[in-house]
Amino acid sequence: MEIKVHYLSPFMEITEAKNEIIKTKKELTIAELLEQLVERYGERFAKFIYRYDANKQIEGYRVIIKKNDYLAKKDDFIKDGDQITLITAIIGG
Amino acid sequence: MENNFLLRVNLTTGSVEKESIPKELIKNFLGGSGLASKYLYDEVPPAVEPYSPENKVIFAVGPFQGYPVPGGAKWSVVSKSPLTKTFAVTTAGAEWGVHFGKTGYQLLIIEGKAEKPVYLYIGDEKASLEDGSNLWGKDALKTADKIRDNHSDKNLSVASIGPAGEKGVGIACIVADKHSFAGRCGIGAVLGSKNLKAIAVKGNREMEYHDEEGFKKLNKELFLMLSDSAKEGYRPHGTALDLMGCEQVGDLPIKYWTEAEWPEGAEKIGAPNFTKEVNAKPWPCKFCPVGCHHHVDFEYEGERIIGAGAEYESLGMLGSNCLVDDVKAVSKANELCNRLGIDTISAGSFVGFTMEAFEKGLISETDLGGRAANWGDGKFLLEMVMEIGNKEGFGARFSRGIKPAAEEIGKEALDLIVEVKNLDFPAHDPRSYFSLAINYATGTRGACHLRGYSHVGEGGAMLLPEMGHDQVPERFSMEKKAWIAKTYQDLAALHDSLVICIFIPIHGMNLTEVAKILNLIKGTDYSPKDLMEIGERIVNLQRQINIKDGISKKDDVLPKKMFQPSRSGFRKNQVPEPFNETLEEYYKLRGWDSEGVPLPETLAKWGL
Repeated sequence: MEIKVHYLSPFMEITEAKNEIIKTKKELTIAELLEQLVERYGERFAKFIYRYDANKQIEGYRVIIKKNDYLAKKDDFIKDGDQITLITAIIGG
Repeated sequence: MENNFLLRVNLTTGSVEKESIPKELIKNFLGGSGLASKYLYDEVPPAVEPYSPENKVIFAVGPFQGYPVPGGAKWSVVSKSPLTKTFAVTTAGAEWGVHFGKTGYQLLIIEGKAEKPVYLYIGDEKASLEDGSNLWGKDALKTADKIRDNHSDKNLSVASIGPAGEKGVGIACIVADKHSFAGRCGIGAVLGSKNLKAIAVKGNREMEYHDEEGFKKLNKELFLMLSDSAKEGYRPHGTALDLMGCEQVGDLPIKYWTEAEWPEGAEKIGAPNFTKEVNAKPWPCKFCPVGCHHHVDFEYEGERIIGAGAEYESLGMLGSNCLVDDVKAVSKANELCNRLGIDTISAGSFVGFTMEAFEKGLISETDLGGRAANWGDGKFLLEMVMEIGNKEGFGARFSRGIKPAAEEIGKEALDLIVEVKNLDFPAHDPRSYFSLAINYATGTRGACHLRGYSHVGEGGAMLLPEMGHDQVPERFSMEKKAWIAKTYQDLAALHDSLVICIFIPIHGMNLTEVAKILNLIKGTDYSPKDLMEIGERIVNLQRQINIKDGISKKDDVLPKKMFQPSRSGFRKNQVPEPFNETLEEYYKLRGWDSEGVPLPETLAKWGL
């Protein structure tokens, strides 16, 4: 199955692409997709995905995930053709 | 040295006097906007005419200013607002707060009215009123340059007003060191009404520490952590980084709050396109490891524009809010606002409202001096900014704010405006973050995302585990949103009183570390909970100022548009309901009665 992933800044500067297609044989949850992306793009990418505690252990997510038009939960399953947008937790000035 | 002094400047008599601040007040209100609010409450009568000599403007720093605390260059200023006619507070950064802190003063109380234009010079040993006649009429940026020349000191820190402040434009701001703006509520116009053009400060005193070694060790760790946290986010792009994300979640104002999607436009005016097109480079405030402010250098219509770049709020309100997707035109509008000395948020709101009123036929080309006001017209945006700031043409209608301007046009126009207590919404939509509905409605200065950053707590950008907020709540629900609104208002009041920039805690310096730093400097023993209680005391004090100015539940309302859902996008069919029940829940959490008035036992609890 194919998942369309849409990156906004600062993710797009790390991935060097605004969009990419992730091909997978297994059905993935949002959390599993994020793990795969972190594995691919490394620590720079991970810093915008996870929130860390004082001991640098992951304690939660700081990324907002949009699945098609809707806010997704991390245990939501992704279907073939879904578009996933990664958005940093927003502050806005 | 202890900086437990205030400087009182009476512009009517020309007197400049130093006074002690009672230690009890510092214990209860810390400094910054909290302490300044206390003096405003005690010294300025209710319902005072904001432009009268009886109104005062109180500049304030807190326990962090003068020390190299990350984000500690901030300062606050409070007064009575010409827009809201009640409590006003706004903050800025650059270097002014550091210098004022190093003079040994915590407060500067400006009272009366000068006979002719003056500016105030404050050094370590002296403070004096200087002739400002040759500054009157100059823009806010040139004013800073001229004062630095006068004193042959290019490092002098200057807070100045522009022509808008001189002319009584109700959205006039105060510009610090040409790149930070005490933007909202029109306090720049109050300074103008007093004939005070600028305040120049140079502080050099050595600061005393309770535990200097302990402070230096922790402070270094925090600087490294914060610097790393911001290095691929706000440092390269500033808050323009958030444009596209805010659009994706329906938070960005689009077409004066009538649309929820504009991805192509957001991409054009947001980072990274913004960064590239206007050649944006970091221009951090003193002691800032984040560096959200940016210096820009670009050409627009044959003119080279150099100076402070637009931030998220300015790009949102002057850009997407008006459907102007030319990032250089929006950046030029931002530069005009900076020079005129006006709040970019309200200026963008006025232009967006004008475009909508024109589209709906409520105003005509004749009203507009023979022009159309079409969505996306960058030239019209620039013309309107000039008119608003100079109090000329159609723009002059907004000099008392958006509500009086709409009232002149008629009832249908009143249905379009997006404000609370005559303060325009900033660029965050309560239909995307429901907690903002309560936060805006009850904000002590009107609709504000900085005197209560509930969206930051709701969206997960800054949780508050010390207060039990360690999970992102259900988004499109009012459950827990009253608590989030209250808690993040208290937190903002605390930050504005320390004074520390919001972007420091957001980038990882938690409340526990804030308390540790404070205790290492001052030898105090504050816990995070103690500090939050001080924040709550301050919010109640500011609410009391509102109440005495005639504010009540009738004013804690949201504009009609906030209950009109989008038909598409991320927040499709979502509105912040049930609003009234959640407002009641908020009042109860605060210890206020059903009319929003603090109960006697609440006032007693906070010693008010």
